[in-house]
Amino acid sequence: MAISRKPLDVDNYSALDGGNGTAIPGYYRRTNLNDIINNFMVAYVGDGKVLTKVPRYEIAFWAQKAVQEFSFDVFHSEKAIEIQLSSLRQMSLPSDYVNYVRLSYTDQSGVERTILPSGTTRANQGVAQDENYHYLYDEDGNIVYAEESETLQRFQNSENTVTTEEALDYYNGYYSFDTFGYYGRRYGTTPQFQNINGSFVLDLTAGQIYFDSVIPQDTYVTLRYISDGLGDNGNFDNVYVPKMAEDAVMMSILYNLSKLRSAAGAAAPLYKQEAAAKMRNAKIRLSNMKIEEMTNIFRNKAKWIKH
Amino acid sequence: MINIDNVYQTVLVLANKDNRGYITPDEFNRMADQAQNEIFEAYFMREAGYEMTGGLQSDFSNPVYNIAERINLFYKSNNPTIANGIFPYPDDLRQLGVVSVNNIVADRASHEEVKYINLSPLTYPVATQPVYTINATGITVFPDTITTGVKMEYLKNPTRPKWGYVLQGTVPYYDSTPFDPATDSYSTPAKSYNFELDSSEYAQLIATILGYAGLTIKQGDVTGFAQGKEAKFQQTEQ
Repeated sequence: MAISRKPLDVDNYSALDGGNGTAIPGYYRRTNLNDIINNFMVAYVGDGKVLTKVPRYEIAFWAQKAVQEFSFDVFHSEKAIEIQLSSLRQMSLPSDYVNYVRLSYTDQSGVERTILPSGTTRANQGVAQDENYHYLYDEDGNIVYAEESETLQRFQNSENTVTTEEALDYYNGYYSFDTFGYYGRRYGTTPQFQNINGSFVLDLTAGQIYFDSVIPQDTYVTLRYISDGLGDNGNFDNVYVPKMAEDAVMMSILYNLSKLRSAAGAAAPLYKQEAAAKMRNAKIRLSNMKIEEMTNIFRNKAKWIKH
Repeated sequence: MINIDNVYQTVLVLANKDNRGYITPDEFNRMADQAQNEIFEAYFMREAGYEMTGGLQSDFSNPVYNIAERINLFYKSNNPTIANGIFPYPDDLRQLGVVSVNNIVADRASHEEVKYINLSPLTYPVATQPVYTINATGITVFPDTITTGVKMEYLKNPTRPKWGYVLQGTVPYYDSTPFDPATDSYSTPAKSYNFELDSSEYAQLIATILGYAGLTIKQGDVTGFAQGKEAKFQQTEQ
């Protein structure tokens, strides 16, 4: 049931705030997909309206497509999970993962330190081979892969970072010692590979993130990622759209439905423009620019911007 | 509801000129059923015609609404119980309307469509987005985990009217005792059941019955009168 017609009384505040309601704090800022679909049917579908007859499942289809598209670049639908690394030093991707935003570990002060993807190692699949280097096949004739590729194992196990002592030696001019790891490389290194925060390799086939040796067991790692917003689309009551983008989602549904129907097709270009304009509006609204926060940042303008 | 005795008596008066056209209760009951069904079935074509032409729309002269009001006298709902994966139709079904599952409207899909609907991760039926298909004896609701909470809203067929009577000697006298179609028998003469049509159909009903009665009693002028009346009704409605 739509919540927007309910009065803002004690029944709408949760027990956390001394109310009687069960609503989650902050619920009002969003609406669920069931309400959007029902609103759409009331407003646009029926006798004498833009669309005379459209089954609900078709509206639901385009509503979900809109939620997907909006999740990718309009909604702030970023999710974050934190795990403590096991001795394997790898992390499974969440089931609703679409792409990562940021990977970080948490230091002693609770500050998130960004972990960057490895620039030198990519995920691959190791083919299982016998002693004659021949490929191995299973009983169905399909090629057999090793559980983990040698490349990834070496990536995780190598001590490929500069220790503090080595770094000091480097800056103290002992770079010419042949025991020094950087011997003969005084001409410099690429800053990208000097990052002390470590790196990771993303293996989308295996659904795993592998960390290098800089990041030890028991480190708390946080993955911020975007989903398509449909992780729980078995029940549209659990699929949410920010109210600031509700109209844009409805216009997206209307455009997609009308362009497929000859009776409404003439107006489809108009709906397309309106959908694009409302999507742009939603993007601006949800960009969440606050004047005080911007002022605070600009007051640091005298500082040297390093990157 | 239209009182069946009023209709019978009026028909007798109109058909029984010169005492040559008596219509027995049994004959009348059969013609009454036929006439009621004929008027009821004509609603749908008439409504479709009105919708196509648009027509006048104001408070009391909106033909689409007027017809809809008459049709909706036959609107019913029931909660069927699943049997072998199918929710059976009610016995008096004329046309299926809205099907809902726990107050959520289910979509009707063809047998081909439902196969694709089941394959798409965005349209796969769930309890909050149910779909149904129509079968010979009932409907199949998807997802198949739904076994309760199905509600069918539908148009029922008009119940057969009955002019019941009790004999006093050889003369049948009207018996106004209500007839219950679920428990009582049409083969017993007692008890009556009125027409279920809207009361505004009174004149149309008599004209239609007279049309049939003219055939029964072989009075062409009665049939001609009825046909003329019916043509006039159609003209005034359109």
